[in-house]
Amino acid sequence: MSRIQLSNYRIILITIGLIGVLLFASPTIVLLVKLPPGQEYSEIYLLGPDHDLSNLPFNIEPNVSYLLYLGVVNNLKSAGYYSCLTKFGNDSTLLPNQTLGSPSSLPSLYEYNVFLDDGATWETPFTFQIDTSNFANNTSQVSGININGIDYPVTLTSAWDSNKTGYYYSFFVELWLFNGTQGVSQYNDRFVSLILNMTQ
Amino acid sequence: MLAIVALSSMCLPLAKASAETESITAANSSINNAFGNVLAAQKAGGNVTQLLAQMNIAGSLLTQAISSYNAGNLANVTLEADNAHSIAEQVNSNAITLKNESEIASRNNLLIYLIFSISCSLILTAVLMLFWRHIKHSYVKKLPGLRPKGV
Repeated sequence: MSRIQLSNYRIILITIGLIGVLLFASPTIVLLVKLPPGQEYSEIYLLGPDHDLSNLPFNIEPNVSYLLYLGVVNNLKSAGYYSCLTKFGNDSTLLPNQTLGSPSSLPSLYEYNVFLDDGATWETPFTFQIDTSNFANNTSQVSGININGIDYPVTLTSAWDSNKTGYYYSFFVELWLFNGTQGVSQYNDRFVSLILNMTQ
Repeated sequence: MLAIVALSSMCLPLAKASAETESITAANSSINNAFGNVLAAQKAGGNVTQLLAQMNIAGSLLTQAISSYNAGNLANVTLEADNAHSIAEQVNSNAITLKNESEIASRNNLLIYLIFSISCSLILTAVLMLFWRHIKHSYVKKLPGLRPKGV
């Protein structure tokens, strides 16, 4: 055994020792060191009656029920408490402001409260129906909307839009998320909307 | 007398609506509180699947209560909101228990892993040092028999 071989042995043993210590310490390191969780986000979607984007209602009639599917996906890396607020407005109603991240000022009608674990998806069918609608002087007036069997008395008018040839209304769902740090629900800057043309 | 009856009949819906609002506010507050503790339990390493299922029952009742209230239909609002409130209170209590248990379990796990890591590292170091001593000893034993080359 030469002197060079002996020093090689020392290097090999030190290397084995360091690798071994690192391996034995790894379970503890995993518990102590928290890696960044990755991108945290939520999704909201609206599907038509065939469970896809086809046949989404556009030309609607009073007293006809329309079926939709509303879904929320949690990718927050932790459990999430979501609220889905349904709102109904006319063509002059301001939708949620995506630049400012502020919700619509319209009052909410039907409201879902859902708790989802990380990676989970929630989906529910829901129906809406315009109860009554009057047309006079190039104006359409809606006096009520039924969502999931509950009647909401709303009075909205929409003037005839000669460019788009129709009486336009908007139906949308805002996604709100509970902020655990502040202890309040906050608008999550996400919404899904339908532009509806009221027909006679 | 007629004025009192008229006044009371006017005030009654307002008082009723106020009671519904209070029930919804209480349910909302207890649900928020319960969810905060469910999150804390999950952060401590607890399995919150069962708690989330219960929270969804409370959330569904709150959905019914708020949606009916928004429509002006106050018939079952208090009942639904109170049920949501009591479920949330129960979940809150379970979540606190789970959080405490999970924190103890996490601490114990950390301790076990720490003892494992330290003891295994020490044993490995000792074994390697013994091996090194053995190699060095064999080398020193062979030294007298070795002569420098070219002598």
